[in-house]
Amino acid sequence: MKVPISWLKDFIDLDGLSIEDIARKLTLAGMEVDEIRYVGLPMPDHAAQGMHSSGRHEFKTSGIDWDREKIVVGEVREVKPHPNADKLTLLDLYDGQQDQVVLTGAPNIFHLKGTGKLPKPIKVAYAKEGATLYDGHAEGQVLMTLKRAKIRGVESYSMACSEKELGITEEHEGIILLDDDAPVGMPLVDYMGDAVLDISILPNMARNANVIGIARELAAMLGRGLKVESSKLQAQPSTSNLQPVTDLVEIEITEPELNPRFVVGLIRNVEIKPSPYQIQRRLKLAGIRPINNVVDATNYAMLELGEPLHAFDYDVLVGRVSNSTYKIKIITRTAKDGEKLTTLDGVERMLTATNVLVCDEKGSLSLAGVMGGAESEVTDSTKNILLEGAAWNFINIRRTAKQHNLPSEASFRFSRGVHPSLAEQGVLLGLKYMAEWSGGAIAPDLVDAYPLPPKDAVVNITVNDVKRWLGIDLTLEQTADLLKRLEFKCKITDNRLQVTAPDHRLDIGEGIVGMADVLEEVARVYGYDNIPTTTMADALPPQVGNPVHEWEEHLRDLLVALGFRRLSRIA
Amino acid sequence: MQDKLNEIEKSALDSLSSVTDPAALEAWRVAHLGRSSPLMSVFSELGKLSKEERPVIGQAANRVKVTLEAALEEQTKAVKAAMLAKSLEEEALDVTLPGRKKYVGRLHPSTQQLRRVLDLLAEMGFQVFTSREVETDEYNFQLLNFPPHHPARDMQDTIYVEADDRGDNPILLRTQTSPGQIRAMRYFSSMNPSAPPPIRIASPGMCFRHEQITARSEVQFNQVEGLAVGKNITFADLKGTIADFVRRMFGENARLRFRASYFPFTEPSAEVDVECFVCGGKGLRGLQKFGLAGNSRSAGWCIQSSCKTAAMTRRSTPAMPGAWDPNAS
Repeated sequence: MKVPISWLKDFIDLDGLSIEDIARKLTLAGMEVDEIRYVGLPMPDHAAQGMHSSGRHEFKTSGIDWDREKIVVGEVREVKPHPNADKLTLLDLYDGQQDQVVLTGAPNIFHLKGTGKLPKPIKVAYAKEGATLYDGHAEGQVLMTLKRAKIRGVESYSMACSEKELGITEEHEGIILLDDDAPVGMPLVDYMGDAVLDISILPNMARNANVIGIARELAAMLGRGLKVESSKLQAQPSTSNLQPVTDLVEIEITEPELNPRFVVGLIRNVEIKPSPYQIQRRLKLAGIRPINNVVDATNYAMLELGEPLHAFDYDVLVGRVSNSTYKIKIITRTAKDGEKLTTLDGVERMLTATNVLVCDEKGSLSLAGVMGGAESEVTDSTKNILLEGAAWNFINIRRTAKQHNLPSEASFRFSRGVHPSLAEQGVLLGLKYMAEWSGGAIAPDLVDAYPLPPKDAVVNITVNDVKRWLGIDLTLEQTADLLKRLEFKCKITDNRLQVTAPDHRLDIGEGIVGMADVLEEVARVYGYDNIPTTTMADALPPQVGNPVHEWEEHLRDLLVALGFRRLSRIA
Repeated sequence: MQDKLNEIEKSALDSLSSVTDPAALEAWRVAHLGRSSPLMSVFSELGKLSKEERPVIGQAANRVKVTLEAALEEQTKAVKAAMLAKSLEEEALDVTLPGRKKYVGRLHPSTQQLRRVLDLLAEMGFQVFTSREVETDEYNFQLLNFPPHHPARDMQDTIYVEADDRGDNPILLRTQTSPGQIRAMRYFSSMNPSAPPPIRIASPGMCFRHEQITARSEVQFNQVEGLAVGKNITFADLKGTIADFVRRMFGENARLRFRASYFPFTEPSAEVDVECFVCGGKGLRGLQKFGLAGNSRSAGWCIQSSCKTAAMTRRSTPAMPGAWDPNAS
């Protein structure tokens, strides 16, 4: 999973730590960082000799840093024609200190050519003479330094940058158009300099395949705490005076084992348009292509919280029922063998009885937890959105995703287990971002069918258990303090620590297994490095040897003495 | 008669000068000094001569005979000398030629490393317990906490053996040495079910994965599994045992670090990074993964390490492909 540092910083204070310190903390805690990609932030000295430095370092490192003085936020005030070239324009740009004339051929501002002074200035990433960037016209990532040159009779010495030139993506079709609130003259690295950690998420860490999960782990390992307690991160339900969604939609779950929870919320009067640039940038760094503000909100909330969401065009659902005063009924059920569904990617899929579908009374809408259906997908003309957050059986989703060869961000998470509690939080968060970015209004309430809440995982441990398993002496209070950092609920009674797993975790078992699960967490937060190294004091079992093995090795020696050579080959 | 003798002498001596090998010499002797040679016929005809001629011719014939015999001896010596010279010339011995190569046998580096690992473990009380390479899904996965369809199985792409439909328990090539743990625990506890004995074993062997052959992965590799089961064995003991082992294997100054990891059958699980002993402190990038799993469940734990990787760390081989090259040595 690719995590931009700037996103982590929304949730945790990382002052005083280098990017490599952060990567090391995560690696030691079981979330191995495979690569660090710098996208603006200063690279460590040993990696600073341009990209792909040949020097050895702790982490695979790539990327580019942005010079504070030479790459800043600029403001385009007018797009003037080039006197000698039809396809080029001259930007009248202010860089916070002085006016500049910047030559560009960018197609995404070309339509403003010759329209006079812009009513609202456009914010861009401005690189001055001498700045080091990636060459936008070269194949791959090749560093170059901006030099003064005459192009068609006009002197050019600086540029408005594309994403490729700044190392954000490979995109070079136009220049970056920053959000309106970008402060003119600010070094771009301060405004949106970033670094992306590429983290391996092992199956036992599936709960951390999201920004809050990683931030929570870092907070525990650093002993710093999150900026906002993660239980309070969820957005508050709407208090608007729209008709509550509970009056409009009902849910029927036919197989609670496969679908323990299903939540929907409604937002009205969205305006479909691109998301703010900073949001798009984060999505791109995380490896997701921005689509529009509504789809981006579902992806953004998923990456942030870990709950995959699905947006339906509400009016399509209304149109499918004959009587518009009738409540929409969402039904989840297993497919009939041979049933068909055309998914978002335009492929008609033949389903089997192990696939779970989200349907209405007329028929199927989406392949649960894996991919939406084409009919009810969000389009540019969508006005009202019904947002789904659900919990699915992870093994079932894994089989369905494999069966239809549909690995997706959603199925990646659902096939590793997402706690049902996140369904509600996810819908609230998704609706919040949709409202922020699209101007829509959220209808009050959520429709929440929750037939099968998971049992709270409760484990009791004693001082002796900690000593016996880990070989360290901790009081129950000390043990509780370590576990509380990971949001376990702890209660001490009668020399016993009763531990309840937080409601984002599905990996804590019961009995002896639960004990091992919890003690592993104690060891992780305590730090493997802080656990002493001791020699086994237990009695040595009788030493009996292995005559067959010894004879085999003896024969090998004999053959070698006779001049044979031992080959070791693919079996 | 005297003329005849002169002629015999002349022709014999003339023909002798062109004789150069022992067989021809013998033929010449037979021809010129043999019983039926012209010279001998002179002797046999002496009786037919007059009294006056007889001693004269007899002496002359005798002189010819002595001459021819001397010439023969001379020529024989010359031929022998020539032959010796020739053989000396033709069969000259070049003492500077390289000696004939003697083939030296050798163990494969992976065998050498495996032995070293097992020797070190033996000194620490871990005895070799060998287990099978063809396993069942139950032993290789299910009993090790990888239920069917569990995402943890994604970490080990498996080579299955085609057999009758065995449902959720197909036959496969073991992907890890860990099924040996189950077999060992069942074996040792069957010896005394009421009070199972403590266990300390090292289980080496080949493991198989359905993987691309890359710098970091192979279709087969050696693993050594360590398993200790006892009443008071702790995670700290695991750390101590691994630290001892690493110091012995990689040297007193080998730096290592423990980090949290995931093995479904152990908790807490650790992976151990050992700093490359060649590049030293220059960069942790030189760290080789040296997978070890620790577990305190069922009052024991296990160590799993890849022998190939250990060998590469010791020898600082840059990459994995070719590790099975038969010429590797």
